[in-house]
Formats: sequence, structure tokens, C-alpha cells
Amino acid sequence: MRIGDRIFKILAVFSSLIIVGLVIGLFIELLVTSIPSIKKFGIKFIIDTVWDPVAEKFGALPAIYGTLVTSLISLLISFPISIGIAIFLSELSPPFFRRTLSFIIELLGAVPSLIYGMWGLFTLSPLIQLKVGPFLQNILGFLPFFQGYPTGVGYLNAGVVLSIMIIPTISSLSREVFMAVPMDQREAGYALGMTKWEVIRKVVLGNAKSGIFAAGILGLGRALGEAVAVTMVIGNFYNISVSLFSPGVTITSVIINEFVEAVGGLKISALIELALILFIITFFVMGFARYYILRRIENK
Amino acid sequence: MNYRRRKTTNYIMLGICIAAFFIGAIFLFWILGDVFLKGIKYINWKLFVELPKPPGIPEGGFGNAILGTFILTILASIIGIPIGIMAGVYVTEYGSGKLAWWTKFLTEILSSFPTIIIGIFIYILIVVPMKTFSALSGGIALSIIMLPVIAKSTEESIKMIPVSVREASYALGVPKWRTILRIVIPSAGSGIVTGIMMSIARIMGETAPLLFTSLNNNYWSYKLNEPIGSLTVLIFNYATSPYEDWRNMAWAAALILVFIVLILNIIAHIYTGKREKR
Amino acid sequence: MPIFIQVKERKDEKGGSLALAEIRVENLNAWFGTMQVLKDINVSLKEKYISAIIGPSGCGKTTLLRCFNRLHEITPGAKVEGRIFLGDIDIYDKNVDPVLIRRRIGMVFQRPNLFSHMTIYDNVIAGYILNNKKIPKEEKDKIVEKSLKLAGIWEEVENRLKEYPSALSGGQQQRVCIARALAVEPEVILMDEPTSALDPISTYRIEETIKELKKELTIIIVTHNMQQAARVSDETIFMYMGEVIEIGPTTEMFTNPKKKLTEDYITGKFG
Repeated sequence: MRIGDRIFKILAVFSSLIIVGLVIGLFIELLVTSIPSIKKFGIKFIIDTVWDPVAEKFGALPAIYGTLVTSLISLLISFPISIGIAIFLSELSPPFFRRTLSFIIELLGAVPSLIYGMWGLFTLSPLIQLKVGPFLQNILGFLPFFQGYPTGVGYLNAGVVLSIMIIPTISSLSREVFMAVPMDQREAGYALGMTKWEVIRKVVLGNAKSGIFAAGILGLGRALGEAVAVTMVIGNFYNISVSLFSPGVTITSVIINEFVEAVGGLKISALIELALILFIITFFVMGFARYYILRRIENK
Repeated sequence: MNYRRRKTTNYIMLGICIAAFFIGAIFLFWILGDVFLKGIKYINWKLFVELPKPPGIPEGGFGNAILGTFILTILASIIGIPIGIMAGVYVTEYGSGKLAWWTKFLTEILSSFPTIIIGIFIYILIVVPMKTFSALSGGIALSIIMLPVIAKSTEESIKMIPVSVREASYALGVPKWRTILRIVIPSAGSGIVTGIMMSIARIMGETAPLLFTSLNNNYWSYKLNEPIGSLTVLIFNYATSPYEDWRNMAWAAALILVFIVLILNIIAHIYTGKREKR
Repeated sequence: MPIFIQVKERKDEKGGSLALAEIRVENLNAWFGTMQVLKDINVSLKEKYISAIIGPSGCGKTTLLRCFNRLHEITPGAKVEGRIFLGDIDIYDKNVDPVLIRRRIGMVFQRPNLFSHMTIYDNVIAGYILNNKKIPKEEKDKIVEKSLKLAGIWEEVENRLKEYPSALSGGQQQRVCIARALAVEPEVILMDEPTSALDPISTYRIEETIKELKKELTIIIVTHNMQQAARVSDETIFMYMGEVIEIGPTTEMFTNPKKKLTEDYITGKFG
């Protein structure tokens, strides 16, 4: 009996160690492989804007810029929508349909990112080029964000695609947080004569502030790491531009587009360094959100 | 009067929330409908049995890619399912210390981690030493993506089993490991199965990790140490190519992919619903 | 030859003798984390007796019960010190395997906890199946029938053995739990408020079963229902705040309690 218990426990511990070991190993491996690039470029890697495989000069700023801009756009667009959806599902939807309605939103997250990329490339792109772009330019063309010719691909397209992809992430977590607010808190609000919206705003949202924040951070993390969909719609133009209509690059798009032709060791090392930067950004963003959530649960 | 204003605000804000839901739903149906309409025109049974042809030559198919996705999925499952379940078991049955906390924390992070990084990880770890892209490396990369999803759903299913059931087993003089194997895991069975279905649906739709591991293959292949075709990589290559007939095929393939993924999700959804009623 | 063999002396798996003359608790202390729930318990219980443990909520009676089959220590943070003798073996001895003890001492819980993914038949025989003990089918059938008869539920389920526990009522499930505990032929059965979740008729049936079982085994039952203790038990232990206040023959304790605290509890002044 003892032997059986011991073996089983070892297997279980081992499996856990695999998961922990993977993350650690991932980091170390990326770090080690990036060392040639880090040695050669140092801090300038993050500041330089040229990506020239032939001359072996690699600067990552446009990629980092693109990743941050597209993710921020996606967060700006999806955050209010996601919160609205979460409020709808947890407070307003008829209980009988609730499961099915929330399933519809879950499906948004189940669709492979590749499909989003295709939709962005073939459906959204002409839409931006012919309808949305000019429309925005008419109204907001005085802003630097909306200048230049809308080619259809670029930061805006990627931002919109990403925003749809992260809606399920933010809304499902927010929904969980809302449902954790006890019913009697809401009832106290109603008893004081508040309207439904006031109860939602003051009681539910008020209680859930930190949870919603964490949900947003998590969505951001997801957007930062998206590879295929973004690569298909970002336009692959190694440049920094304030205009949202302009094509650009992101860390993931550079890695995907450049990797296949990677010949020289330094190029691979530079690409891996990009991956390392992405790892660090994503890990800290997600880690922060998860830690925050776990702390909240433990405190309650 | 003040009341009237509050009432109006109430209706407007609630209306906005309902509208938000419809925005989400509209996007879903828009995208799915798009895939359906663009892909259905090119669906025929030849797609499943023929090999890709050069652009310009009509017909052809991508049966090898479908088979490839199938093989990769099975490979990933063989590795990922047992380890994932055991990790979930560890956290619930043995974990009260630091290792359990870190496992839970890192599992959560790993489950929404950029899959492209995992692909690169396996590239460095396995593809480079092996000096070749391979189905094996693709399967391993996918298993890493599956792992945290299965571990998490295992953990949650086991947590739902009341302590008294375990105690009944202990009280009969059954040791811990047998209790876990024959009482806990079977009772959590349906939850674990759902988790497996969802994780399979997830890895079938992954592209980025495969680009660095299993690459692609235009011929029928089943050898583990050679590159292998997959539905997602095929779609990616065809969709971004300049050839129209390839792009059309990409839509057909996308339709097939979406169909499979949707079915898996719907089955899991219905299954969970039945379980909750019981 | 009946399956339940009445023996005064049995060999345990290591070959030592397990003479079940009586159960003796010596200097037993138990904690949940830093909170002490049992304080220096010293009692002796007789073989083939029904002993009831009564007391107000939180007095530690369930904890004491769970110490008898070493179930208390499974809870994270729980600790036990002291000795409990089954015959002349201290079940808390370092060399004793708790798993083996639990095969000697069965338990029935407050709420029925049959294994929902196993049939009724398999549930009764679970003590053997789960431990991978291979037994020929005829013998399994015999054990199942005998245990269900002893538990007083054979007629109700004999044609439904392939069904699942959810098909039975609460009282029926609880009696199958008793059958399951009996099937492994323990020497002692512990019962933790076995009828508190049941209706009066099921309660009556189970109490009758308990009285029948006394012929075969020692029974220790925790109950918060004093009338039940009076109806069913030969000896009663009254506990309060983790200590044993009084122990004695049931009729005596209920008509002529020796301690004032006991008398107050029994007459309903508190609890």
C-alpha cells in the first residue's frame, strides 16, 4: 500500500514539476539563444528602427511599437463592449437563456485565430479601405491618427481584429467577478430606491472594480501575444507611424515573416531576442493580473 | 423630475449593455457566415483525398493536411492528457504547499500564453538538434498548449467532488492512490472529458507553433521525424498567397476547420449542461 | 457456515493477534490546527456493545469517533496524540498501517455517500473491488446478499442491484451504506449521526438494524438525539467541550446521572 501511494505521488509531483519546469526552461532557453544578439546590440536593440538582415543590423522599436499600439487599440475598443456584455449576461439576461447566450460569446473565443486573420484580410480590409477609412477621415481627419491613405491593412485593422478576439476573455472574467457580488448587496440598493442601472453601477461595478481591472489586463496580455491573425492584417511594413491607417509590424509578425528565411545565426538570435521581449512583457502582464486575482480570492 | 432623468439614464445604459451583447453576437455570426459563404462554394469530397496541386492546375485537395492535423492532435493528446490530468490531481490531492501554488499560477499563465513562443521553444529544443522539422516536434508543441487546459479542468472537476465520497473510500480501507484512481478520477470523469474536448478544439486551430515545428508537407506523410502538413498551416500559406485558386481552397479548408472546432465546442457545451442537471 | 464468523481472537495481516476484548482509549488529544478539540480522553468500551456518544454541538463527539478509524488525521492540519487499543494493539502505533485499521473498523456517515458512478451491487462489494481483491462471482453474490440482508434492505433492492444509487431514497441509500460497511466484515462499526438526515420511518428501520447487528459486532454511534441513544445503546458517553464528562450504562445515565452537567444536558437545560 505504501509503495502504491508513493509511486502515485511521485507521478503527480512529477507532472506538476513538468509544468513549472516548462515555464522556467522556456525563459532560460530564450535568454541563452538571444545572447549573441544582446551582446551585439545591447540596449540599442530596443531603440533602433532598422531591420536589415543583409547588413545584420536589427532594431526592434517598430515591432514593439506595433505590438503595443495594436493591443492598446484592441483594449480601448473591446473593454467597454466586454463590460457591457458581462453586465448583460450577469444582470439582465433571462436566466433560461443565459447559458446559451454566454455560449455565443464563448464561441468568439473558440474560433481559431487564423480565421480571424482571414476575415480581417479579406472582409475587413476592403471595408476599411472603402467605407470606414474615408468615413473616419471625414470626421476626425484633423487628428494625426487618421491621416494618410487607408490601405485597409495596418494598425486599425489589427486593432479591430484583436478587439473581437479578446472580448470573450475580458467579458467572461468580468462576469465571474460580477456574479461573486452577493445578491443581498443588490437588494439593499433596490430597497433604497435605486434604479437597476444605479444598482449595477454603484453596487456591482463598485465592488468589482479590481476584478474588472484584472480582466482588462488579461485581455491585454492575450492581445499582446496574438501571432497569426495580426500577421495577416498588419501589412508588414517595417516602420513607425502615428496614423492608424498605416501598415506596420508587430513582434509576432516580424518573427513569423522573417523566420522562414532565417539563415545567419545572428538573425535568428535577434528574432529570439524579440521573442524574449514578448515573453517578458506578456509574462509580467499576465502574471500581474493573475496574482492580483489570486490575492483577491485569498483575501475574500 | 430628477426621477425622470434617472429613469431615462437607466433605460439608455441598459440599452447600451444589450446592444453590446448584440455587437458581440453580430461579429460572431458575421465571421462564421463569411467563412461559410466563401468556403461552401469550393467544398467537394476531392478535398479530402487528393494532394495539393500547383496553382493554375484545377482541383486537387489537401487530404494530407487533414490527416496531418489528425496525427498531430493524437500525438499531442497522448503526451498532454495523462500529464495534464496528473498535474490537476496533484494540485487538488497533494498540494498544500509552494509547489501546488506555483503550479496553479504557472498553469494559468501558460494557458493563455502566446503560442508562438511555445513554437519557438520547441524549435530550439527539438528541431535544431534533430536538424529537421518534424511531426514529433509539432505534437510536442501542441501538447504543451493542451497541458494547462486539461490540468485546470481536471482540478476544477475534482474540486466539485464532495469530501464525503473520498472519506467513504478511505473508511473502507482503500489507500489514497486507489481512491484517486478508482473513485476521484472516474467521478470527475465527465468534467475531464469536457476539458479534453475543449483542448483538442483549441490545438486544432493553432497555426503559429506549427510554423516552427512541423512546418508543412505537400505529400502524404505519417513519419514522425519528417515535416507534416496541417490544416492550419495550409490555410495560412494559401490565404496569404497571390493565387486565387489557392485562396479559394483556403476558404474551403477554413470552413472544414471551423466546422470541426464548432462541433467539438457544441458537444462539450451540451455535455456540460446535461451534467449540471444531474 | 455463516459468513460472519464470531471469533474472539483474530490474526491481523502481520500475524499478530487482535484479541477484541475491548476498546481502550488512553490519553487521547486531538487538534484542528491550533484548536484543541479533544482533551485527554480516557475511556473503555466493551465488545459487542452498542456505545453511544452524546453531547451538544461542537463537543468533539464526531472527532472522537473519527479517531477510532484514524480518519481524523486525513484532514489537512489535523493532529492526534495518544493511544487507542483494539484488543492489545495500539492503532496509533508507528508500525501500524492506518489503511489496514480501516478495514477492521467500518464507518457509516451522516449523509449517504455511495459511489454514484457504481451500481448498487458494486457499491456493496466496493471494499473488495477497490482493493483489487479477486473473488469468484458466487462468493461476491453471497456477500452482497448477506450484507444487504443484515442491513435490512435486501427485499427492497434484490431486483435492482444493477441500478445506480440515485434511484434510491435517502433512507435506502443509507442502509446500502451500512451494507457496504458490513461487507468487509469489520469488527467494529462507527456511525456518525446515521439517521439525522432521514425521515422517522427510515430512522426506525435503521435503529432496528443496529440492534440486530449488535450480535455480530461492536458499534459506536454518535448521535445528537438523546432519545435515540436511549432507545438503541447499551452504554452512553456524554461529552462536553472536548472532554468526556461521564460514561456508564445507558439506563443508569438517563435515570440517574452522576454529574450535574450530564443531568442538565439530558433534561434539556442546554444543548
